[in-house]
Amino acid sequence: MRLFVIAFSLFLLTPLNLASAHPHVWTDMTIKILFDKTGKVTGLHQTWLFDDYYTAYAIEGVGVGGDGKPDPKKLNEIMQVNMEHLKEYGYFTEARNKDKILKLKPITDKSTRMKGARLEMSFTTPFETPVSPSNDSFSYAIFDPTYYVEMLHAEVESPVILSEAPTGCHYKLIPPNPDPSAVAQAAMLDASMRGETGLGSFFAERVYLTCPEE
Amino acid sequence: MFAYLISSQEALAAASSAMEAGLWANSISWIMTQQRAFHEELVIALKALTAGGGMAATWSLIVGSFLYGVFHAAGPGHGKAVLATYLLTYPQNMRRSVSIAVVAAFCQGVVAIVLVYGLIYLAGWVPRETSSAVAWSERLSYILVAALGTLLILRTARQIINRFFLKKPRLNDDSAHHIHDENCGHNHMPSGEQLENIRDLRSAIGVVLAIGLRPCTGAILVLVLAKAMALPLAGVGAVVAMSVGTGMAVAMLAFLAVSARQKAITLTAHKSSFWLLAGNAIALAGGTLLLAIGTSLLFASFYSRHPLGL
Repeated sequence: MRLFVIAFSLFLLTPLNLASAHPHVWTDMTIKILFDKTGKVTGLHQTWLFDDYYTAYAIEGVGVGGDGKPDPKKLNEIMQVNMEHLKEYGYFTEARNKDKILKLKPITDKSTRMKGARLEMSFTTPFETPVSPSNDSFSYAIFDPTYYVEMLHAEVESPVILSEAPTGCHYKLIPPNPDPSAVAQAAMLDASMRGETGLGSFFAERVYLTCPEE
Repeated sequence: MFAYLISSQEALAAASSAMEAGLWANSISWIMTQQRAFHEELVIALKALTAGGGMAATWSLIVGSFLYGVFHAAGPGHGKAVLATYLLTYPQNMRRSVSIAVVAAFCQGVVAIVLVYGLIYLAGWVPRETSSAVAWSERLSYILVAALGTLLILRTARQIINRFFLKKPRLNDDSAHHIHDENCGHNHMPSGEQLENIRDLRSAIGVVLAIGLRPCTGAILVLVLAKAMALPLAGVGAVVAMSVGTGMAVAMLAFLAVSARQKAITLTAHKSSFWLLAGNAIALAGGTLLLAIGTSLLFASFYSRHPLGL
């Protein structure tokens, strides 16, 4: 009986949101934190590996090249379109200096390829102003604000690489721990606000950088 | 898959002993985790099928899809708000209500299959192009949701007017025509009861379409993946199994909603007209809610698409 009550309340209390506000696509990320010669963080080089579903959705019907694999030129076109649309969403990237969200310069180093049966896309998001990594000020989270796509760091030994970092730097990856009432509120709001920061941020992994004081 | 079921038992037990708000949120997270697990199972099953997995892979696909459907329905969406609001305020009997729920769930599956495979196989579209057709189907559904909300509002308004502003009690709320009894000899006008039936049926179909015209994205993705692996029949099978799962889940919701409404009616049947008014107020609120949801989703659908084309 209790189970029924729980189940019924689950149904009723579930956000009145006809749009599916939960992930349908999963993406594995590997991130390289980029440093300049003065030891400041200048940007992130991101590699997104999409799941089988999104890959099939994106490339099915795309012309095949000579080797039976999708034509690289067509893959590039797909990436261009995706990048254009992602721009509005800040490329899903929320990098912070303490509490301030960092502004991004235009992206660079775009590339895309098939990795086995999965589509992979790489690009660099440079920050307008490099950030000093001391005082634990730098952190980032990459997520789809609509929580349609789940962005997670790849389940490998080191999904975050510190590229040419000062010695002694290391990172911490904090898994999401959504506060139930906050999630409830955000989900309620989500109904017609695709693109607004809704559920996504509650389920995002956050990475904090710690470097020794200078 | 069984490991998930077992750990889910533990998770459910753990969740049961938590505080209410935590309980709800933990359950939601758990449901989402299970959904992802089944989603991944489907990929594995499809891959096993291409490798000639035979019965084991087929079985895994069907069961996985079914369970995905159940959990998917428990998460946000799938017209539960529409169904619940409608069933809590519009008198439909239990049998019809459960039928509405199940048919709506199947409609979602059928629409997914027809739109995606129809456009791909018959019209030669490329899968990601089908998203525009799906978007239009969704818009139709949003319009129907708004229409349903309007219908609820109008119906309740009519009831209020009839009850408070018209002196004579009427047999039917809506009959402004003469009411003939069975011995009239010939029917040149449908009886009040038949009119009521037609209205009920029309609104029932409206609800089914309002929910059903919105294909489940999970189903679409499975269909596309299956097509990419040259296993369209497996895709269809998976979506059918998903619809059965979703159908069962929303059927339970329908059962609970109708039970609640019927209980409320029995409890307040011969009480003061305050309760009738309260019921009207709820119906008005529900109708307004659906109207608001339908219109806002309709407008939103025109200006924001997901950046990755989904």
